[in-house]
Amino acid sequence: MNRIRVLSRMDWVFSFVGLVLLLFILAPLVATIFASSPRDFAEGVADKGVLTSLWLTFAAAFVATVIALFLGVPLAYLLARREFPGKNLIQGLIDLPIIIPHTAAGVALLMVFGRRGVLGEPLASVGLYFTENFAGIVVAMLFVSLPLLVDTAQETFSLVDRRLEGVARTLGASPWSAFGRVTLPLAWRGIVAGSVLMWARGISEFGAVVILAYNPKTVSVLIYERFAGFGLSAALPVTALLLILALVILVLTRAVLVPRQRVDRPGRGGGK
Amino acid sequence: MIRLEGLQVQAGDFSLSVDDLSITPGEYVMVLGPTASGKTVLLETVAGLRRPQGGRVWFGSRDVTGEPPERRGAGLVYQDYALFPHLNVAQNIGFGLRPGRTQAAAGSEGRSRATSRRPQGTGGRVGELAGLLGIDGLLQRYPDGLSGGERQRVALARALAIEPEVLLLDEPLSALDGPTRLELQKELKRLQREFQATVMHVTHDLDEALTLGDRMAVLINGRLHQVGPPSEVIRHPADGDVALLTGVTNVFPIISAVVDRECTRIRLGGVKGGGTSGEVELIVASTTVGQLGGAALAIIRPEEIVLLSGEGVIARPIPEAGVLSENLLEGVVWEIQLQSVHASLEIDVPPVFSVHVLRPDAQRMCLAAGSRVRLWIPPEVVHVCPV
Repeated sequence: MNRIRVLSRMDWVFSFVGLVLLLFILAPLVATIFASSPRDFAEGVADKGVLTSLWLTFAAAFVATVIALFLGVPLAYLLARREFPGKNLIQGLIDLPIIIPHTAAGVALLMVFGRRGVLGEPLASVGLYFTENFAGIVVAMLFVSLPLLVDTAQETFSLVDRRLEGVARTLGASPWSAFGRVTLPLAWRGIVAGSVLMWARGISEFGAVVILAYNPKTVSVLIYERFAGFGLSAALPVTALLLILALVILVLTRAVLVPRQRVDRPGRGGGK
Repeated sequence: MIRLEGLQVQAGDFSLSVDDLSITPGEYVMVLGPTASGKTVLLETVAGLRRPQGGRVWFGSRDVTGEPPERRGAGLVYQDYALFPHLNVAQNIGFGLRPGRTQAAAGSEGRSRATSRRPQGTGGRVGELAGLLGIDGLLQRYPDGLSGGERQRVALARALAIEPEVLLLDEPLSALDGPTRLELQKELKRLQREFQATVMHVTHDLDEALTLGDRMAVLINGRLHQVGPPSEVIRHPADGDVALLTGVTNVFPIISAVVDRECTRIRLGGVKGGGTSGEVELIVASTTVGQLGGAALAIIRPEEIVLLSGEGVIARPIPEAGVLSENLLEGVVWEIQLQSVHASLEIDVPPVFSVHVLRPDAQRMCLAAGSRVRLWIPPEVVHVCPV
């Protein structure tokens, strides 16, 4: 391993430039956390509404991610591996939610999942409501954040050498078995990383969620409501709590996912 | 018995067609071809990873053309081995040995394997294979930490584990350094005998093909040009392309040919490698010139030409002095390259002939650029083939 020990001038310049960006992210975070006095913070945290809302948000984003895993991973695999007519169109469709304003996405979703919607109406008859409901939040989060999972998974799949799948097949593995024994084990980190990204993006969603379901309140809606109704100081404790939690979760998942290069197991001893 | 019949495979812009190629059980067939000649496509088609647009693939009496790779039982070793990076050596070798795996190959054709499936579990089989390949010390290691030669052995063991109907090797030695390569070359031959495996091995290396192959198939630009014993391909290339691929640098168009009762005289000529153009007349043993009709080529392997220096020193013993009056040419050494075993000379007659002599001979004859030399081309070494 040859690690460069002396920092070049370029490294210094790049570090400085990067630091500016880091400060830009860090400043609001620090300002928010220190703006609310510890007492306000404790009070805010103890607020049952806040906790319920946090739990609701995390859970809805989680459910959306699980749904996307089941529906999106197979699609990502096809996009990575096969050539077929209309592939570009599908690729564009997948990325569409990134571009359109999320309030617009909410409106569009309402057309389908609203009480009069194409799917909303029949599903309502079996007791599944998407407006002002947990299911609505899930649908909104799913719609706006699924590109992150599908894109990441597709990229990960395309990094897996397809000849490995071929060799597995010649060794007697069915396509399912080759996928399960070779492709997935080599791609799961990327898929999990994509899931974390998607989950995180789901938590941050406001526009689409607020149109489908103002209630029950996700954290983003709750913060907006407190800010609009009671002013800046009322929104601060929730905001601070969300920021801290989000940071902890992201750092933790990085720690689990990132140090990847496979190291030879013990007993590597007499390598040539 | 593996048989390819009227095979047509389309891979992007590239198309491969094989009219007829069969490999008898236990035979080692080398497919020699330059880069991008379709060697890998051919192997992948036999393995079932590519669907041919036309033709049939037979494994014995089974028509496997429509069968997926997992039901064929063809062991494939890629050039860079394609080991599963997330599995250790033992798991790699044992990949195809999962209990309950559909034994497609089982029961087809009588097989007398040196190491037939033992009643023991997959672990025992993995150990046995690792032992045979000398990698039993590596079972717990991961592919990342292995040398090229070690990876190669693992890939071979993994393919052999399924007792394949045919072992498909895609340039398995090309990524290895010299000594390792020679060692593994011997090893391949030994394993093939031990397992009585049927092998199809593709390479661009002529010497490898000559050393290993029971038979040799020459694949150029997606088409089989010649199939035959290596010695035959070397001595009698089917056409100019095969000649060039098998190291013949003297390929000249035949300008005219006169066949009389006793011998055939041809005139050949041309320009080669920036030399002057010219024509010479040679007597050849071949009588097929007349039958070829139109355009034909004269092919002379550079090591078959006998070199005589100006002073009459001979680089090689000549059978009968009397014959020397025929096919005797004079020329000037235009370029000389010394290699470990050979010296390769370009001699301007004109046209320019390439001649290989043993390096010590070249040095004894004090050959240098500008030396005047005489060449003798024995009539029987001039091979005539269509363009």
